[in-house]
Amino acid sequence: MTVDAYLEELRRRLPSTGSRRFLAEVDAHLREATHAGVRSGLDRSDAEALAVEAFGSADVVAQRMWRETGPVAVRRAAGLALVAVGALVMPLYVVPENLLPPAPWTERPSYLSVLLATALVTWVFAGVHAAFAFVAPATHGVCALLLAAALALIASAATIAAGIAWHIEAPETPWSVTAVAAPLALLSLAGLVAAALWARGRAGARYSL
Amino acid sequence: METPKGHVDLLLLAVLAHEPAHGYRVVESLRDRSGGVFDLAEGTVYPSLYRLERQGFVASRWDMNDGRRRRVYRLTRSGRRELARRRGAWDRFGRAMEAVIG
Repeated sequence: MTVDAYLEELRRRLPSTGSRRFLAEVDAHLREATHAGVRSGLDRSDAEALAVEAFGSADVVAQRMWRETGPVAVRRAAGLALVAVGALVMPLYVVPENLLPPAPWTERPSYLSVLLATALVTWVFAGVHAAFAFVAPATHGVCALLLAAALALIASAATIAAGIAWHIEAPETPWSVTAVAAPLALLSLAGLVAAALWARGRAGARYSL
Repeated sequence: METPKGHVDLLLLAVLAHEPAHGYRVVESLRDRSGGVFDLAEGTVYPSLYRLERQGFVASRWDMNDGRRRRVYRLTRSGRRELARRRGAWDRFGRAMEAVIG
């Protein structure tokens, strides 16, 4: 097998994102080995075949590489996405509560306050997990992070649904918060989708998370 | 002969303590210094190097030499400490084996 064919085979087995550095290293390694073979008297095609054989099966190399780099990279991306989303969403809960003047409209129902508090707590919980996952990806479990993210998403979705229900029940309440919340929610969603797509790219066609 | 499982990291740290090197040179060095005993599947060295780098024991950067671009790995300060720790553990293991098998 030629070096180019091997690199193509390896590229197909590696995740579609984040493998550029490794492929460049493999390329340099195989060119170096080929050069050494040619220097020792082999013709070029034999030298390439020998270099590829010594490097090992593309399947095994890709699997080992994924085992080392994949989960950490996915954790890091998920952590970063959660911190970014948390930083965007957090002011929504804090600012209207503390900084705005008393509302002239209907008092907010207590169940909505409970939901808001729950969402806030779960976001803080997820944010702390995300920060740990980002700073120390080698030691932080991905399951804890995903659980925290799922809890935060459920609480946020419930809060948004309850908020909409409140607006429908009491039409005199302003929609300004929702107007602010909608683009932020879209940004949050975009961030999570991007992280999920990136993680899928890391997983590649053959390896699952 | 196959490299003892679990000791590849120690071997890589020891090779890099000798001199900074790119992946191909690391494999060559392992083979030469072991008299051909440790003849690894070359591609399997990279996952170990990446792991050591993630743990902070090794650092790497691209280097241009003779018109070729290579990723060169070097031991960090904590890598040297880790090497000393693993050497100590290996010495104790070796002495224990020697004591048992004579």
